[in-house]
Amino acid sequence: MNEFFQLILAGIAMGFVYALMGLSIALIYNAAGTVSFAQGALVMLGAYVGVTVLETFHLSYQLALPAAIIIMGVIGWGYQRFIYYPLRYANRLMFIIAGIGFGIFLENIAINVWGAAPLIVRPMIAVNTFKVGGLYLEPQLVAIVIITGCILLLEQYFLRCTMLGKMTQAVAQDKDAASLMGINVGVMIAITFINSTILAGIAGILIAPIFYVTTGLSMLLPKAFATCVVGGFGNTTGTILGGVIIGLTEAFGARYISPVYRDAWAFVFLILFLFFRPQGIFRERIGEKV
Amino acid sequence: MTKLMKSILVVLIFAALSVPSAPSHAASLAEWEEVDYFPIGVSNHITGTSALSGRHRANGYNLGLEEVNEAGGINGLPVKLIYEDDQGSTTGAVAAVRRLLSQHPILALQICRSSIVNAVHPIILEEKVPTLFGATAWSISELKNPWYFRMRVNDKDTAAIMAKFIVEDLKKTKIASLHDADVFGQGGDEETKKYLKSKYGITPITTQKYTSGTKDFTAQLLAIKESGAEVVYCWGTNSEDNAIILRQFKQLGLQMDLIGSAAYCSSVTLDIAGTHANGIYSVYDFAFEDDRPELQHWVKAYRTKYQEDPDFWALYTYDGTKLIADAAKRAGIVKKDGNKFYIMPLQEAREALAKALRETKGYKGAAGTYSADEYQNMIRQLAVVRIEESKPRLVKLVNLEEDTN
Repeated sequence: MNEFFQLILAGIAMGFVYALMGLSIALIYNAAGTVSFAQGALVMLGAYVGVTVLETFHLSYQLALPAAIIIMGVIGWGYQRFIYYPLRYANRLMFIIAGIGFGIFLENIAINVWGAAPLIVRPMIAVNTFKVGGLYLEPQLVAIVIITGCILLLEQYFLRCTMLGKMTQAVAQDKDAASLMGINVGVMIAITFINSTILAGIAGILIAPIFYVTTGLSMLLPKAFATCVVGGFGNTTGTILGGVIIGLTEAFGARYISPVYRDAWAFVFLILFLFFRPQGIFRERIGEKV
Repeated sequence: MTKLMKSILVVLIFAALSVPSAPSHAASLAEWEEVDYFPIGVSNHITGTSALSGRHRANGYNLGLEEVNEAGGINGLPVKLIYEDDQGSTTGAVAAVRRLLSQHPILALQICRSSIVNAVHPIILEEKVPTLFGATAWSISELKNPWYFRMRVNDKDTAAIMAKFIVEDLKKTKIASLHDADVFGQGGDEETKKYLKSKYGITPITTQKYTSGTKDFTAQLLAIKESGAEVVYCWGTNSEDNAIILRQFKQLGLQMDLIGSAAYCSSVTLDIAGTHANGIYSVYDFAFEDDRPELQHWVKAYRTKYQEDPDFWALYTYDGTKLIADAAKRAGIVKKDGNKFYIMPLQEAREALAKALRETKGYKGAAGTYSADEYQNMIRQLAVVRIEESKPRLVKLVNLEEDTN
């Protein structure tokens, strides 16, 4: 029975990481109407920025996190200004290709700046693994679940309860109507890119102590896409649920079916969703959008 | 003797002295090619996700090169390494090897990784170029490529050492397996199982696999824990995978011995795994405590040049460059005439070099004594180490000739 609950814990922790990445994809999808394939590389970059502020400048987490958020915000603005903005009227495919290129560019920059060796980051909580009722709890995983949960709640609050959030939502729903209402669409899209890049960066910083920091972190991107589809693109609650479902599917599929196909179980689940509920758990049909 | 007879004798003696007993140097050199250096091609991971191991390999190649040239190269001819980037992929390696062979008169190649060695096998067969590599998958031996020379102990032998250590030294019989599902991991696992079965009649009670890049090993480790195993052997090359396995192994409370393949003891794995690696065993290419002068010289030279401890990647590459130079000298493929150097016609030189490599017997390198066997596996020495305070400590040195039979 302990094993069962241990797998649930592992699945939920991975699921929250996927959810954070998934939300960063969904925000851009909503605002720009296209998919950013650079989000995996932005998670990786966030981890490297985390290494720099934590290990190179020896800042505490309390100072390192705001510093990393500012740096990632600037990168997000640059991504929007120099890659999305020139392509905003072009075919959606152009931005997708540009996003893939930007991701490869970031990976190569990372290798050149930080080197090819995996880097380590001190954990957020300097406590050893502890045991609760027969279950082994890793403090960093617990921190990931709590912090990600808080961030997703804050994101929800920002989008639904603040004027800025409502304006970005309005742009996401209908750019022309939002523009006629006096909302500066360009600024709102820029804010969305910054927001999205910060979320990807936070995901990178959170996972850095347990996955180590390498360019391989960008390979988490497909799981984040799966999370978005299962949860329903753009729905915060759905994204969390989608992430947890994908995380649990992986953990139990690997344990009870085959560990080699661990990655495949998430995508088998994704295909089933696309067949039977393409709109995801909490959203309208997305077939035409995808 | 008549005057006529004396004259004839004198003429004959002059004639005999003027005709060389072997093909004349000048006549041979007419067919040989004048060169400025001895070119060795290296296909290495310069960019891409495996660039770190590529850097360690390059350190080994370059240190070997430096020592060869300081010692006068090959009969005075300096050796040059010509690098091409294979990006750590099979497609990249095929392109890199083709570039090397089409753009340079390469006499020998150095490559790495089992999947790459498999991928370029047809090219090497076609081009007939002596190729040294550090890939360890036993399946490469079954290719029977006459141009391939393996510079590390093959997995079949490593597996035998691992199995023997588990049963005879650790005295454990309830055994679990955890391995990467790639060619290396799969091959290592199969060979370990074969040896356990044939020698001791033991079958592992559980086998768990993963794909490289996995971030969470909870499922595999819990299955091993539930199996009741007393020891787990692990085959995997990716340092991040190994480090995550070691961390979760401790965090999930697995109380058993762990013995891993060489990468479990690499400096990268030990750096990122930190204290989680303490207490595990590894079958490794060398031990710092091994006091053979060749090994100690290499360790000292490496530390002096690169200001860090060497890894196994830098060991066989260092030995490889030096062994090629040694074989080239033995093969007599380089000659000096005045200030000029000449090399045999390309294909002839490659064949002579391969023959000399095949005839290698008792060459003392840093990793051990090199002698070619029927599969052109060149080395037979390994170390079993235990990680203590994040450093590998020698448990035993193993001579495969004596220990695996």
